[in-house]
Amino acid sequence: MAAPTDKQIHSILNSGAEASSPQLQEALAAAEIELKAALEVGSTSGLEEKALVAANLDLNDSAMLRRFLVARKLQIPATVAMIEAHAAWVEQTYPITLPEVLEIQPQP
Amino acid sequence: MALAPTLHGPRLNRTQVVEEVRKGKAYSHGVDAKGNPLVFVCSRNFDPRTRDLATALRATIYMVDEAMRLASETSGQIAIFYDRTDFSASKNLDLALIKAVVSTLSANYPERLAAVYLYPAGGLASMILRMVSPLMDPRTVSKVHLPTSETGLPLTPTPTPTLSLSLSLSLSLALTLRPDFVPHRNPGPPAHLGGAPEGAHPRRLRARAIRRHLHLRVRPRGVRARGRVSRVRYSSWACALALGMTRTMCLFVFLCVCVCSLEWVPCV
Repeated sequence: MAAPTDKQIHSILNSGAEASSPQLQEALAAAEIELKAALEVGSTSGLEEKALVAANLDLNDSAMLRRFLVARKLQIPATVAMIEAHAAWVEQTYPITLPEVLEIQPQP
Repeated sequence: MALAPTLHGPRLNRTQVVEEVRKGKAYSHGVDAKGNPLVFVCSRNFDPRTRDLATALRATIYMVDEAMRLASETSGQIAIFYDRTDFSASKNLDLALIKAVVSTLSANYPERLAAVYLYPAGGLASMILRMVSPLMDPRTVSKVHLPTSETGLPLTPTPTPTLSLSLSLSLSLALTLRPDFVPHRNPGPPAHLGGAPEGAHPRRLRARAIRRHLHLRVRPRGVRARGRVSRVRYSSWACALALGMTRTMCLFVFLCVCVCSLEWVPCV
């Protein structure tokens, strides 16, 4: 079976299909490989984004990559930019994972 | 109770976050009919005057993370139930927080939103949604649901009796939960006390209620006694029309602002 074209992918996505949709698996698999390669290169020439992505995100998490791909309708440059921004946000929001546990007293 | 150390760090005041969570603006409770964990957003608990934007945003992220942890056992998506009960635009409308949360979630939680339920939603809301839906992404439109009655609610038929927040803050939040959030229909006063007679047509009952409401609010005292009934009716309906138009315009402007701030939705 031939791979779906961009127009077909758009129509599938607009019909409400999710990343787990079987119609998208083939296109998603190809886009995922392309995305990983693009993330290694980075959207810009700076090394900072690449380092952020490598430090904060698990690029072997296929489900995560596919969710980002579906959100950007399988467009690689837009997905790379989104993932890099997400890595920067993770770096800013979750700076420390403390081993301690905070005890909260329930309200009376 | 143990609070998972998700957001601990030098940039976060833990006490403030716990206070924000305890306000009950949002909590995770149960699942919808498709099995997605439900996050309830109580608009009546929002107060822009008593919150710090950064702290409120962190607390929201914490709640979403906890819901995602629940969702990871199923489809990985969550559903949001926006409860508009007792909402007051003058007191509870927090556009800055909504905008911050929306932009954050859109950029960092793609494809995590299964559905949004807005309840109670009148006919006007569905009409406006139909108007703006051509301007929105079809995926987004398919996720927005406006249940207008209890039968349209996404709840499972037999919700779990326990408040299964499965959050570390479940006990403290349980005190702020309202399991009876669904408003019950008010049968109104009986016929001998001025209520509608039994067996009357629902449309007539509604028209009667509207007329009574307008007379009570708009009719000046003593005018009917002087025999100027037609003029009173005219002025009542004119005032009602003006009020209705004003409210419609306000609602339309508000929805336009919301839609403009909902640029995140296509990627959620």
